[in-house]
Amino acid sequence: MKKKQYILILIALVALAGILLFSICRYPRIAEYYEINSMPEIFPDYTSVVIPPNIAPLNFLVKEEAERYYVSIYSEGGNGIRIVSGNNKIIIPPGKWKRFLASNAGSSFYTDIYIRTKGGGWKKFRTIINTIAAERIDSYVVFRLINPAYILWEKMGIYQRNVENFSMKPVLVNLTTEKNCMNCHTFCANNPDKMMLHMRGSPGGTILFDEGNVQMLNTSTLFTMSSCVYPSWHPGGNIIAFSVNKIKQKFHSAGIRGQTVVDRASDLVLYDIKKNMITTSPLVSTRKLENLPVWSPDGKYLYFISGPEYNPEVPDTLVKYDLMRISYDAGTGQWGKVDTVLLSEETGKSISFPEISPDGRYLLFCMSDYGYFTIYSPSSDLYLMDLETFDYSKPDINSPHVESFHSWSSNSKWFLFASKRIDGLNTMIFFSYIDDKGIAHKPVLLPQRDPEFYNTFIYNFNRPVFITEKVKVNPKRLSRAAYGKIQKVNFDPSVDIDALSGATRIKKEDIKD
Amino acid sequence: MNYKIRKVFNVITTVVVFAVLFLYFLKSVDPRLIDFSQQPIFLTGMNFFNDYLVLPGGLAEYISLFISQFFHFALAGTILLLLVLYFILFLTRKLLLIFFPPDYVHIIQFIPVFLLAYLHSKYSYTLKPDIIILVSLLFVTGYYYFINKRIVLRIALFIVAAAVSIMFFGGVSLMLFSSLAIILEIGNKKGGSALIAVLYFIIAAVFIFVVGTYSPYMNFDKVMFDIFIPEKYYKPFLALYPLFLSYPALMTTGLIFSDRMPDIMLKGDEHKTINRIVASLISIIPVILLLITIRFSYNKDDKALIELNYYANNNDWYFVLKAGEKLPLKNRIVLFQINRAMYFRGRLLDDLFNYDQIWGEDGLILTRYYNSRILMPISDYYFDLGYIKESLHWANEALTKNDFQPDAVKRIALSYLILGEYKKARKYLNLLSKSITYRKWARHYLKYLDNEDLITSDPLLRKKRDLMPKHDYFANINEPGIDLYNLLQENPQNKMAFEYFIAVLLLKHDIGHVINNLHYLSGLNYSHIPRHIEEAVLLYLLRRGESEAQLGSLSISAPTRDSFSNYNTILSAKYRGNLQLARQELSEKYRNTLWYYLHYISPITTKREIKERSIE
Repeated sequence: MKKKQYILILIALVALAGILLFSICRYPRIAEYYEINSMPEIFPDYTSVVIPPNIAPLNFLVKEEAERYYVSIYSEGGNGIRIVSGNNKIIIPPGKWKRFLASNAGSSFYTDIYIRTKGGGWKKFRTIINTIAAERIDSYVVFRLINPAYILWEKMGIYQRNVENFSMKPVLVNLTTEKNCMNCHTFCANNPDKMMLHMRGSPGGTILFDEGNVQMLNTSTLFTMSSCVYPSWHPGGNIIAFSVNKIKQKFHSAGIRGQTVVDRASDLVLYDIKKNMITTSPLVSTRKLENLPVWSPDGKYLYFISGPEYNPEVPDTLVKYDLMRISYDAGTGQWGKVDTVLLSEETGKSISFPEISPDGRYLLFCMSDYGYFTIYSPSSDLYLMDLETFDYSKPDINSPHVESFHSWSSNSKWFLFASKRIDGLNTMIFFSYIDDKGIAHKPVLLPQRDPEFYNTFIYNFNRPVFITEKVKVNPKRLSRAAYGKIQKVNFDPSVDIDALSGATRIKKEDIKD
Repeated sequence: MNYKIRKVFNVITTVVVFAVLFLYFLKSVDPRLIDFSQQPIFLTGMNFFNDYLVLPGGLAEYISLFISQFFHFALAGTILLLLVLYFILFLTRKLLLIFFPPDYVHIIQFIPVFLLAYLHSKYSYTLKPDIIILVSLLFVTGYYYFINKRIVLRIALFIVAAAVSIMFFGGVSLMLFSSLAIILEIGNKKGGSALIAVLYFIIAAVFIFVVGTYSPYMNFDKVMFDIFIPEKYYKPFLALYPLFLSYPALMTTGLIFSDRMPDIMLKGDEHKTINRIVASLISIIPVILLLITIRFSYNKDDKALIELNYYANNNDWYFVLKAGEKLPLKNRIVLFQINRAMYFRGRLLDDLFNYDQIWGEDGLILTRYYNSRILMPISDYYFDLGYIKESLHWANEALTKNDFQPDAVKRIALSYLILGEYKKARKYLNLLSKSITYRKWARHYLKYLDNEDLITSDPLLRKKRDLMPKHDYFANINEPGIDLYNLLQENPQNKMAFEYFIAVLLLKHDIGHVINNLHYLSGLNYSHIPRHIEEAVLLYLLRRGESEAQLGSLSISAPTRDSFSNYNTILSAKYRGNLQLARQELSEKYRNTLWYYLHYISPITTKREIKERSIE
């Protein structure tokens, strides 16, 4: 018995010694190294970026050939994180990373990368300097994952990704709804408890999740040309603005564009949740193409884009949208007048997807050569308008590829957008910090556990939006609602139908291709 | 001694059965055709694995894909398939021996194998049910090893196995495992009881309820019955029911009747020597049953259809035509591939009407009525034409419908290479380089990235670059003739665009436009006017009362003139213009002409409608 105990103690001591030795020797002692006077090539490009203090580890690839890699991440205080790797994947321990960010929020941090090539000594690249912002980013991003598809669809789903770690869970996957199409997921003021999304196909309709209740709506009416399409929640949470559209898709034979989405007609409507009623106004339902409504954070204005009335003689490439807004009193239901915010004539480009920061200070929007559905337009870039002066500028965050589908974090210090800049093929999510001077900083690609993830991931992160917390509703509850009782919405009888030139049901023969 | 001899008979039977199966799968079924039909892909790496891990039953699918990828190779695929069947046989035997005497097991052990042989003869059947059975039997066999151990241990083992079953192999696996475990407990004379059986039933039900309620990826019925739930393009094979039900049915039968089952092969109560004649006869029974199964499983027509598309995919146009001759033309894809083969063999405008073009232009070009099954053929058509962006469009549609379909991924990668969009090409090539079977292909083309010299020296890629449109216009899938015309306008050297354009016009009875576009003939180096164009010219001249056409240096051949004259004589003079009466004689002599097509075959004439499932 004693002998057994001695052996066990000996084994434990040897194991402990081994662990200690491993801990000590794991990190190389680099007394000598050759200094390379250039920045290391890493992917994703996490150099000279501002990151939130609550982001997941920025795992990356070192795109330099070597047999051993050593990375040191440290702050002014000196202490930090060290990683050794036998391959070019640098995986940062999540726990250490989280503590590191928490203790260095608001200050810069440094990354030194060393490589050792076969038969050679260590080489060190120039130090990467990044900054940790003081302001947190909203913890979750919700997006749809879809193929780079054209007409058909099969498997798709709406997912929520925790930005603070790598967890990604479904909000709703169409495997539970007969593989129908789901789209236009939208939240009220980044609140996960007030959400809506559309379903197309069978089952079809609009799912509304509002403070614990789930409903399936049929938003088509006799007086609107389609079911409701592009949504925006009024900050009060009782009204959702929608567009109604006649959409057409076209495919290019040559050139950089794959496809184009154009509208033959579009108007704006408002859906009152409590009254279960759709209303509109002759001011936003004209023969012009009113589209993409978005509320100001105080709920007093409805911003939207407006294009010229459809004319089959005019090529789609000449159709440009202006940015407009109309005042609206949610309490009385009174519409004000339409103001022009920015004219395409002035910019020479077509304006699209206005999104206002929650503090009401900035308006982020897209401009592209023509049209409004910018995700297919490589020329689409993001612009920032100061709503105090209505001056706008093009922040230095754009690329030769499409930037679109942007969304603000609830504290207005961060925004995200979808861009195809990495490979020109798939949309990926980028975050950008906006400082007190209104400068948008270099975008940061949403980090993944495996830094090689984006090399082979062929789906699009479609329509990403921020939410402050995770969506807690059970996905099964949402999918059951799709098969439950469908509530038909009513059309506001007080609307003067004859005065509407656009929102009345447009007959097929009126639209000529 | 008797035991050894009985074992020898069992081994001989097994060997013979598997030898027959080997030849059957290798030569008749051909795993390469299964691979081509199903397009399974297996990618190395955690990302691919994780996608399957989150789905109840996903691991079964993952393993199925891993094995199925080797169907790409005939011999390896056959061997692997037989290995799976053998392991199922092995475990089935072990289970059956618990309740049945060896003589009975000798025959009944093969029941699942025969059912699987039948199922694997269907080209759309995947390995997933096999994996489910294999794993479930493994769990049951493992559970049986502990059948006489303490009850707490058995319950714990059951719970673990049940949890693993439902999470990774699906509700069907759980139900199979738990039903067999319950039967084992009921038959356990030493420590089993009905209470344990009831407990196991409740545990299984709870697992199914919990997973069915909380899994965001599957509805309750799908969690429970997975492979038995029909979907849009999936109808479960009826043979799956006896396959899965046979296990609990056999085990229950054994449990009830095993005591009353006499030895068959043994004779003489005292000596217990084996009756070799009886043993031999019994050993032949499984082989006979297998041969009967094969007889009723093998479907030549199914195979011919897949072969047709397989040969077309490999540009074996001679074999496409041979396969096409065995198939009914009412399947549009058959006509489509035959027409393609004729084009590539330089015979389209001479022999188009050698085959009854009952679908008119929709048998030549598929785009007006499309569904999930013809997305890649449509992509093929555009790729042939050099209309690369549209080929890319349809390959993407195919990829949407069938995740990671290798042919679609390859087409997309090649298309982006041709278009010079190397970053996009890299992504798809990176994807394929994670596949064991397609890695070589991917690595070959990865070298092409950013290397214009390699691309321009590749004959296929260079040719496609020359053909692809340089001007931008919108594709017209509803009027494919317009696309063909645009392609031809832009590149009069695009021979396929010309021939398909003319073919469309002929099939649509638009003879006038055929004549208007004859000027392309001289630029495309035709040594003679294709026969059907001659037929169109003669018809045109007759209708206009003219005698000669402006054909440059080319002229209508004498045989065609004679045929036309005879056709008219038969129709007009002999039958006084009565098409019905003239039909038989004209069919015997001139069925392969444009004129006969216009009068009798064309869907414009017959009013034939396409009833296949259209856009989803």
